[in-house]
Amino acid sequence: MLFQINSLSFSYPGNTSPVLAVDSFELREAERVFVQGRSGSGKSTFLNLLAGVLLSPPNTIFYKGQDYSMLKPAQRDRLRASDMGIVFQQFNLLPFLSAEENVLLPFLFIKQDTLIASLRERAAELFAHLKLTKSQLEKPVYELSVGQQQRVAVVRALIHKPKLILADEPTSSLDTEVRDDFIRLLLQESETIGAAVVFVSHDPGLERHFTKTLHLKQVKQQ
Amino acid sequence: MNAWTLTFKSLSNRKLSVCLTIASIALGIFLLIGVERIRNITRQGFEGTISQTDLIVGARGSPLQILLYSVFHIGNPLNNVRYSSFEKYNEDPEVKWAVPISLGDSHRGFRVVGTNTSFFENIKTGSKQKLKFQNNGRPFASLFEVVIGADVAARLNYSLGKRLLLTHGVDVTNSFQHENAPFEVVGILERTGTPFDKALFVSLGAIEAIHAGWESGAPKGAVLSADELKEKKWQPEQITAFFIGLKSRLSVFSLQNKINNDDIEPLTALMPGIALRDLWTTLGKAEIAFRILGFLVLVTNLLTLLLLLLSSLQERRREMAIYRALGAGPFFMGKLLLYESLLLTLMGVFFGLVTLAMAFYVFQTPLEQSLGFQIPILSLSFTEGIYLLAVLMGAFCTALIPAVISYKQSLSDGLVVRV
Repeated sequence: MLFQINSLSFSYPGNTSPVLAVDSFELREAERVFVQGRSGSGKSTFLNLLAGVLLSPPNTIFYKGQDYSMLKPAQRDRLRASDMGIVFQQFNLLPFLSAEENVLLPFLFIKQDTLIASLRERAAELFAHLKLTKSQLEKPVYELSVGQQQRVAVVRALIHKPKLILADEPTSSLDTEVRDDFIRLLLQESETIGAAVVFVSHDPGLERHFTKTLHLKQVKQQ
Repeated sequence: MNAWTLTFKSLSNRKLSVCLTIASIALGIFLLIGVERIRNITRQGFEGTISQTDLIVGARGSPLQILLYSVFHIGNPLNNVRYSSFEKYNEDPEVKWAVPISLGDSHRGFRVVGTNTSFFENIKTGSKQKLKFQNNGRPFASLFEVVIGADVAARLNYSLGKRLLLTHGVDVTNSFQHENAPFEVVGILERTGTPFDKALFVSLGAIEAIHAGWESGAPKGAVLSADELKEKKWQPEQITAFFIGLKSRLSVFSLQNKINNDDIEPLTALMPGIALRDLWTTLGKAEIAFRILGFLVLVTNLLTLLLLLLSSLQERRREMAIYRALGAGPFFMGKLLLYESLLLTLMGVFFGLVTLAMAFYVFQTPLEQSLGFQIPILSLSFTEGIYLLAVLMGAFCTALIPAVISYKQSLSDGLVVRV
């Protein structure tokens, strides 16, 4: 079990009305979950909570059986670096680095040297799988198409063999035909390394790629 | 890759604004350190005008005035000193040496100093250097021989063997020349960067001789010829001032006291080191203004730096979200900003110092000629080091502002930036 959520209700400090409410949610290893919700339903808050960027209330979110709220911020940062791969809607890459340098960025934050050594080779392998050529990788990222950029982002999210991929509408800036390819690719590569996928989107049409769906509903304003 | 290379790559992506910021910091460093160095050099040159001289004695008056006319050849004494007083103190057991000077004549705007050969033995300038002669020069030996300072030689294009006339008084428009007595240049002094460069030196006897038959500053009656003058033995009656070197510096106060309370003649003895420092304090008020100017320039530079960092903050919120997603703590961006400002400042400091060294190198010869001693090009003084340290500290503190802002942004943005 990666994540277990019990009666989570989250409101930002200084604000009494909750922006997110999840009664119960479980994420097992290698599970593919589709998180669907309209804008304002707390999708990004949910993402920030899972990633450990936002502090959850006590006894609501458990990661591998451990109460998330008990971890120090730095511990949660380390956990995110080692266990998670994150893909954004867009602007995944640093414009002043080449695609390849972007992919190698996670090593800045992963403290285990052994991991770094063993995974460096994976970059090339992944690039090949995601049909990215060597010349494309050496280019500055702004010379790549949006689709190529998103694939580079996937390589980066997978390179350190995370336990879990968090994807925040990574397909919203892609054309429909590219979109399905992209999702298949993402899921396939995640499966290879046995990573679970939490895919957040407002688009119900993507639900069919996943085994489980979590609907985020707008919390009633009091 | 580490945070430093990341910073470097990020900066090289913003070449124009980064270069401008570096240039502005470099300019500030150039001004700040340049002003400081010139100030130091001037001060050193000034305070080193005369050294190893323990007392300067003149007719009773303000020490500053005596210093000005005896050393800097500025202004005129109100009264003279009896030659007998000089002789008396020259034989004082505490006194190692004493050098008389007699002022009042000039040559084409340069002052003439009447003295004796002990001047060249005992008068020392800043670097505790004796006065040295260029080429085959030597001190004057006979009545109508003259030693000239380096500037005099250079400006008037005089060389050894040149014959010249002295003018009565120090006013260039004075038309009374000592025409009966042409002097021959027998020595040219090496440059010292002191007023001695702009002076001519003759014997005290010569000063007496050329004024023989003069009254109230004009020739009166029959003026003797050079040969006639040479035959006579000239004994000075009055001099302008005299310099004293002591056997032991410990006796300086007792001798000063003794001279100031001389029972025959009202005299004032001053310690040149102290008088020079006092004079510098008066003259050096401008240096404070320069220092303030330098610091203002520097503050402007730090503001430029702040502007650069702040203007990039908004567009870098996404960058921050990426770092956060990869596992960075909320202060990572702040760290990058601090690195950035330090890197920019270091480069600014580097280029500023390089430009300064180049400027000093280009102007080394003229500067050294006017100051008379070597200018260090590459060394940093302690004060300059402190300034540079202050600049780096300033840059660090400046960067703290955007760093804290980015920290707060990062906490509120999380992974999802809404711009």
